[in-house]
Amino acid sequence: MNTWQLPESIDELVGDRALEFESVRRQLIDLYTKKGFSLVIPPMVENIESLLLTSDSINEKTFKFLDPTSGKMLGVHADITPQIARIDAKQGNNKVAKYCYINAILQTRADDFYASRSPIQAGAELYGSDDISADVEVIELMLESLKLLSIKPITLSLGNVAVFNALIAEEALDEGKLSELRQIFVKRSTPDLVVFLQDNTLIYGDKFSALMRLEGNASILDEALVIFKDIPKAKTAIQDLLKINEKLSATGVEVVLDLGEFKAYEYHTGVVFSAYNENYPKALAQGGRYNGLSASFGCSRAATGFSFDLKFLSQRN
Amino acid sequence: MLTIALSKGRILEQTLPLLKKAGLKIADAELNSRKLILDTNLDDVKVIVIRATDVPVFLQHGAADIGIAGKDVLLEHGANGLFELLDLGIAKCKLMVAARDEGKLKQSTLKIATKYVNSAKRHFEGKNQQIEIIKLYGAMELAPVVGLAHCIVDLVDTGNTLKANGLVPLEHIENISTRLVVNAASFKTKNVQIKSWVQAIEKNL
Repeated sequence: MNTWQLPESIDELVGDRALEFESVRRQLIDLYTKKGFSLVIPPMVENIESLLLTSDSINEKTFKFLDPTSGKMLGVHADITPQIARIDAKQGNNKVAKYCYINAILQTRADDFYASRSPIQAGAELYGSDDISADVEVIELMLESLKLLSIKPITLSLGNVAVFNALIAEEALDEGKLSELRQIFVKRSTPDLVVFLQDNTLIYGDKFSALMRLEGNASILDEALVIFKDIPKAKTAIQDLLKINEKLSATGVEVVLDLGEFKAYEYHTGVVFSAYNENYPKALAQGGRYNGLSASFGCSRAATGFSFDLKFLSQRN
Repeated sequence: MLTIALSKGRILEQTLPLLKKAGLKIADAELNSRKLILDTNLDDVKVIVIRATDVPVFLQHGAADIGIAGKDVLLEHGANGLFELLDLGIAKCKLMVAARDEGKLKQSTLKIATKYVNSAKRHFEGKNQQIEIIKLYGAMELAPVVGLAHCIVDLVDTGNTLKANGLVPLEHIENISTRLVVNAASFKTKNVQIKSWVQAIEKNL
């Protein structure tokens, strides 16, 4: 091995590339702070319990080591969002709070072949509001970030996992079956869903099938309102999407509504969104509502936010 | 522009008629040429014909928007970032464990010859069986016969090859058939175009 060689999926920025990155980093922080999001620089290392919370996928991605000083297990942050939840919990108030960050993180495996194992995660989180105006605010900020990075046009995918959650709340599925069903939705595998519904008796089998094909323009929401009219939580979730879609129409962004949209992270509880551009084979930025994360720190806070790999996006213009 | 990646070989022969029914034709002259990117009867649709195992790779990288590949290939690859929209119902078979007899599977560490390394691992992990995998690229059936492995994990169609080599299929892992997959990002940015193709193909299945 040559001593100048870097480990797999670890990269660096030098010269103009580094300057280009630094320039957009500053502009983004200016943008976020002007909008009232306060900058936080979370520590690189924390006690493992506060980093992982209940997420299996974050657990698998986190580098861990033993702290010789305390004998405790520590982890290197693989995602900033749980750290923001901890920082917000420490403030201990019920007011609306807004945070932004741009930090290098470290992951045991890259999210995909384009991703680095040491991405520089940029993002913003809005705590203390369960109103859709908060979702709209973070979505608009995400779109502005991409505009600042000169990536256009953007296709915004908009979904709401609360519909899926409202259905599974009524089903008696064990942990294994539930994870199987989630995976089927992550892969949007219509054939596998057919087999799953044959093998398992579900109350809402037909509704799960409908959920997977309900994507496209806003007309699918009207269709969804009819299909889910007897399930109050699902109905509210769809109405929220209708309102958000209406509010976003002013931005001129192309919206694809997708009730089958799923995220890799288990912590999302409501509206979820991702941004795409036809020159990129994956989502450029993504986020959503996660009202349960603060519970790990002993408080109940509604939260919504987004993040993206700034190193990746700043290099691909 | 839409790029469709097709798997070479038996799947290709059975896929072309499905595409034709949906309105996509590739001239024989194109198919028989040495070109790697083939023109179709439509200006905005191109076709590439590649090894089945490369189809999910091309799709993930955005080098193709739609792909046709066997479920065996998708399971083995993981196919993250791809949506699996249709079962084309062609090239059906089963992924199975086969050995000379059932007794051969009772080992503290079971030696398995296969090219389906990940699928084999998942199957035996689920059974709490300790295993050792020997990755082979072909002629799996030979491995148990010459004492290289206790059993094999492979696709079984008629079962004739197994029989001819004194092996019997013992455990069923997955039903396999050919799937239509799309890149998740293409599905969003070319939503209308991709859906109209998927619907046209589905209608004629």
